[in-house]
Amino acid sequence: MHLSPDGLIRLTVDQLLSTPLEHLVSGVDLDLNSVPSACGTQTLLSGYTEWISSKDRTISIGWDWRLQPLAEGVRWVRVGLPRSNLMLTQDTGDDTTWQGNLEILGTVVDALAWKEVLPQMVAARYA
Amino acid sequence: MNTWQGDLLGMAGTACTVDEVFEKISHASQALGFEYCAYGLRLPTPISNPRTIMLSNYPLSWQTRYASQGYLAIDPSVAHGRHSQCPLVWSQDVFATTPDLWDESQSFGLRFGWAQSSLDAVGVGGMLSLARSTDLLSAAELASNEVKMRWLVNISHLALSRLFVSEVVKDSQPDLTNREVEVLKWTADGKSSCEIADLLSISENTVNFHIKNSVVKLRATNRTAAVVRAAMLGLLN
Repeated sequence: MHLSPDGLIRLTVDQLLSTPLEHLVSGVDLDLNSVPSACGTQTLLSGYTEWISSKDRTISIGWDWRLQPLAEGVRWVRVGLPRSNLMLTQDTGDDTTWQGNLEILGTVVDALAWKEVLPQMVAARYA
Repeated sequence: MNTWQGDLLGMAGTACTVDEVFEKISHASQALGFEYCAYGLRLPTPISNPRTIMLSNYPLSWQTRYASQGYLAIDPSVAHGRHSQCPLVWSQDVFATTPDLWDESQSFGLRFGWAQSSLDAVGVGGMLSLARSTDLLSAAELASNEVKMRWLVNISHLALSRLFVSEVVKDSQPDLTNREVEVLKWTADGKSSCEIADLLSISENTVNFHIKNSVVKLRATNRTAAVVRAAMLGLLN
């Protein structure tokens, strides 16, 4: 894992999965949600979150989320691909394509326990 | 030397057979300390009888026993996966309602296990179970490895659903317009055509026009079947 001149931190998926990440900040999209809803329409709630490496706080991954209503309760869903200063390298040492990089980072994001953590973080911020 | 993570990334991006994918998942499971693994994939259609595909390296005699006893229908770990995507560590408490299933799986060497389900945008559900015959899963092991185990769930789902879902989705991605999706969403919420017309400030005839088009595009027989099919395919998300 090293910081490259292009500003990206290069590491393998194995190294990333072995790096503890912690919640930094989350918020609700106030612009979107401040639009008054018509009577009877469903409330939409979406937002963003950023997680960083616990140890040296240099790795950053952020993504958007939304609440998806279910028959019972709601489900927290990642929206789109993450944003990050990471470039995942392959076993050969070569860079992954940027699109492939973000897609793999998406699978790593989905492996984090963010859906368990975020409800408390968002509730605490807007309490 | 390739890592198990690198192997898995390769399978998600290139053409592999189901057997090749499952072999890589088994290899990854072993690297994480589990001699056994099983993956169940539940396709969203047909809705009345969703197709479930089971892949497993459990002892063959146990696979036969599990199928013949219909344990899939009562397995508490499967039931948990249907309503929660939080990981589940096997325990006697979890299987308290199915003591025979618990005792028998123990006797076949499936003594300590962990499972997590996943659900993607097109309604395909999957569940990965990791199991072994010795060594309790400790809190320290989970703290160290659970992110990797959860990642294995995601990447396995991605690779296997690509193989199985392509046949389902290629015929099931109707080109619904935004307005048709909007009308279907309101229909799913139980609104009548008249109510939807009021909500969207359009005529009732126009609402019915959008619904009829959606029914045709979704190859459904009526508005209810169209809404269910669209929801199951993730088109209303």
